[in-house]
Amino acid sequence: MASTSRPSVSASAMSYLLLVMVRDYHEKGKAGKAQLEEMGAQLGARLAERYTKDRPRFTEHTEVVLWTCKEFWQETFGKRVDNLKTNNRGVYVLTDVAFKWMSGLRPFGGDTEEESWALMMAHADSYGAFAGGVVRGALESLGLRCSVSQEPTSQSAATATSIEEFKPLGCKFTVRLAAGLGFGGVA
Amino acid sequence: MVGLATFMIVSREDVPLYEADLGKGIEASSSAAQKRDDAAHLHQFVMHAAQDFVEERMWETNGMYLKLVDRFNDLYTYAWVTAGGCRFLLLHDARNEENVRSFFDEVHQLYLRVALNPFHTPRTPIENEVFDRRVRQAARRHFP
Repeated sequence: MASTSRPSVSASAMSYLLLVMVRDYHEKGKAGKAQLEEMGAQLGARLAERYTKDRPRFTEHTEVVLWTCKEFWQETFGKRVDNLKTNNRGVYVLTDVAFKWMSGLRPFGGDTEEESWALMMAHADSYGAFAGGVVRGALESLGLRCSVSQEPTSQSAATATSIEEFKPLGCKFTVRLAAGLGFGGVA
Repeated sequence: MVGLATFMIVSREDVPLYEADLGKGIEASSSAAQKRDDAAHLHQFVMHAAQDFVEERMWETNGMYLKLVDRFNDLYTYAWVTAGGCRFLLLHDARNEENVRSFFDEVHQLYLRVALNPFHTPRTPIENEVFDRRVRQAARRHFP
């Protein structure tokens, strides 16, 4: 095959893998979420190593965060972060209004609309835990010790279930840099 | 064939991940072997000492290749730092910055393959034989 394009992974294979993985760990409750987060961290560290290969090194926190919101998000989650906020004291909030990894989620399973919605959001939180882990792993491997928490968001009306009304879920990630962090290669 | 060179990889947290003596092949006589042993110790010592200079130089530039960071008699230490803070050090007795740069670039690729391997625990020594072989091949290719 005379293909010179970069090797790529099938998006649907990735979706199925995520789906099964999150579903299995979601059933383990809090421990499962912690495990998802840790797995994400290991993945994020590797991805960051790979994606930073051909660019100059970082010299500041903000450079790292900006790179994460743009190039890293683009490579990993298929688009850039939609909004970045900071309190200038080590807390950043990254908002993605249509998070790729949750794009297949719909309300499901419950007996009432509210239940289905709640089930969906609970699963979204597990996806978010994994993704948050990926972000944390990437940031930490670039020198920023931090903790990342997630909050799935929805732009649809509270109980919209029909395809036309339902908009894909988004996610907000809050990154808290470790206290007393001088930006450094030695964590 | 490389005259005298040792190559080392050190992680961000100062964990030595890999070390290779890339010098000429083993000679028959035992005194030569003894000399090589002493030389190996000296090389290791010089490279560890050079790490202080690497850490200083890291902050002065945002490039990965730090070029020559230290000099001890006729031994030159070159360094390359990845975005993740992992350091490659090469101790060489010749001054050829461009060859060293392309060597480091190639080793970075090899290192990435190891790092991306899900069965490799990060920040632990690299024991992969293929990696070792490929690093040595790269050395032979870049330092004829």
